Amino acid sequence: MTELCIYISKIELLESLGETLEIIQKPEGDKYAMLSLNEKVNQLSLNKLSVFFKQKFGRDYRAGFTRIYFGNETCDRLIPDRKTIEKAYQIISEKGYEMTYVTPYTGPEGLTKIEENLSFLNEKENVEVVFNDWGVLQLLDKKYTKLEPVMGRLMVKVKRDPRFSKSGYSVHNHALDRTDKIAKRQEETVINSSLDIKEYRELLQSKRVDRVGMEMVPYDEDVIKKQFRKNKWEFPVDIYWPWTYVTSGRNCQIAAYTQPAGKIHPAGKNCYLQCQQYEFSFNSDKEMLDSVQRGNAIWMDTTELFERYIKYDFDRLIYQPYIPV
Amino acid sequence: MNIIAGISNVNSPELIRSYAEAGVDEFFIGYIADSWSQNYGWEVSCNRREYANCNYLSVEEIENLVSIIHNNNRKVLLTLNAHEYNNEQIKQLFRMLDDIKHIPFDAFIVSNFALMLEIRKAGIETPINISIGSGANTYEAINFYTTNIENIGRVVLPRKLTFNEMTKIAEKAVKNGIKLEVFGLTDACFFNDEYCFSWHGILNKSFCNSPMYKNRITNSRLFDANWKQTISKTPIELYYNKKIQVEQEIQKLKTKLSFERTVPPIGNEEMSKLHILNVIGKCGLCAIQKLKELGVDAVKVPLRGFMSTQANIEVIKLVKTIVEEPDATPEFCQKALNSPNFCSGNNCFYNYPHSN
Repeated sequence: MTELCIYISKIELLESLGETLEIIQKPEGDKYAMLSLNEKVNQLSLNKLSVFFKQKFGRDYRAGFTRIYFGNETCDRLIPDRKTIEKAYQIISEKGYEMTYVTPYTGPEGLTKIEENLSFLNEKENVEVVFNDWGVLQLLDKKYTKLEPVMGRLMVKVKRDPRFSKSGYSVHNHALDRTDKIAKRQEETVINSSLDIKEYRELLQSKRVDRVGMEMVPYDEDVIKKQFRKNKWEFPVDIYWPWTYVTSGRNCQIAAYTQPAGKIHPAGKNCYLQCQQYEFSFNSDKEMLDSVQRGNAIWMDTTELFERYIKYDFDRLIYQPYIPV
Repeated sequence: MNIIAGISNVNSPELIRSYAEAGVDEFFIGYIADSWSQNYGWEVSCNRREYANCNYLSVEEIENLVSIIHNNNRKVLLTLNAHEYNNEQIKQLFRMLDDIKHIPFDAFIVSNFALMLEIRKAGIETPINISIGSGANTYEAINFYTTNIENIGRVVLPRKLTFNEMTKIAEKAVKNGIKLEVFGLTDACFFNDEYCFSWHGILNKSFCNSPMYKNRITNSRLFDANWKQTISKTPIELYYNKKIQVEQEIQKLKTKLSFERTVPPIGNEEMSKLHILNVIGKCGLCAIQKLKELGVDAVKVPLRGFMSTQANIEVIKLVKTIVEEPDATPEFCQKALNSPNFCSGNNCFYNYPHSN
């Protein structure tokens, strides 16, 4: 049976976990328009979970969670400080859950902050750490050996571009014989990854990695069935839902947007967490899954893929009540 | 400090001598065999250049090119730097490598860790340079590669690191005998190379350059974490007021930006530089002096697919001037480039003051 976990990036959401997971009556008319995609997806996804739990297990969805993932994957500035991690650990333990600490890709300063948190968590029992940067795995492998490394979804670098989530894309035929065959092969490259390679898996295993993160992407159902069959990669698989990561950068475009003189590199002092105030949304002439940029990262809403995936027995569903920013 | 430049089949092999004389110490190239493109098309490249004219397409071309480069006492590196390869792609790639195994490349540039393992498993001892696509953002990440892969030639530092971060990494790396390379110029996307999983190239425009991204809509968020409690009490007017407010703020910002970006009209002399400024795109040249002092071994001038030979050579000469100047201050570099408009603060990728 798939284990159900919650992934939260902010301490306030953890403190008020009941509310984070609460389904409210749908606001009527114009009031619904006041909600951002993030909030709408929170309600739609919770409703899906609620129905699934009721039908499959005859119980409330909130009783199904066993572990909380806490942290973020894309931004140095959002790495929780040690006090916040201590608090998060305390809340998670008191609520009777296990903890998984989620870390982003990062530079030297961010890694120092992460290391302070690892040092605290290394004293605790059964704590997992999601790494999205080989530097973090190096620390887990050599120094913080009590913590259990989990390979993050940003380490599986297959394409997931919202523009082609529902609409096809064009294959250039310059000097090529069979574009139909090529299109099929190209599709395979977004399904299969380096995890197919034995030596790679063995090296990860030698570093105690025993779980990998992946995303919901709009594969056909027979692909999902094949892809997530048990033990395909000899690793248990985490599937993140309903927000799929697309891209991010240390040049935060949301922060740049609010800077004078078009500074394009606001990775440093100019950030005052504009990601909490603004977001970008996108219109396309093609049909696609809704996407949004919060802070330095773009996320694709995969709420509607839930039914396509949940029937297959992957190991964990990592439920994100909100975009992890 | 060495200068490493990318070239492709749009540059004739005869130009190698001119490039070398202008200052290039090492060349890097991409190779896409017919067997690869017939299987994966141009959209799925084995080296992150999705265009035929950014690569070489035959063994004969490469044999000839590598021989010319070596005869000019320069090095040549092969890029194998896609982010991800699955099992079938790896097999295909090794068939390509088998066809060119007699060609003595001085190093491979690789992003994908699994491919590095496979190259060593196959007994290929060619040095591996860690590509920007590997995400060596910290000394610990570099250490991960050097402890798990034998014979690492050099590590390319990601463009998105601040100068302070690069300093921290370089201090440790140089002390431990690890060679580093940095980007000297060309357009830097605001997304991180190694963590961008959108499609690029050919008929499918890159995500960041797509109309969809360019016409993005800015929204202001109304609620915080307790929105479920407050929405029923929030008057709908707030939403509309906020929408108007955001639009006004955007307008104000745009006016401010256009005001602050106003620079003197471009003069004739600068106009004559436009062809090289187009090659440069974004620029890290002012940082070269400090990078030299840190012990960085090479600066990359990624010109793969750039067709204007004259502009390319001028750019290489410019980089060479800065690399060779014992005290290449930012003022020296700006004078060498001689375009005050270009150097007005919006085109720098290392030396921006607010990140240090």
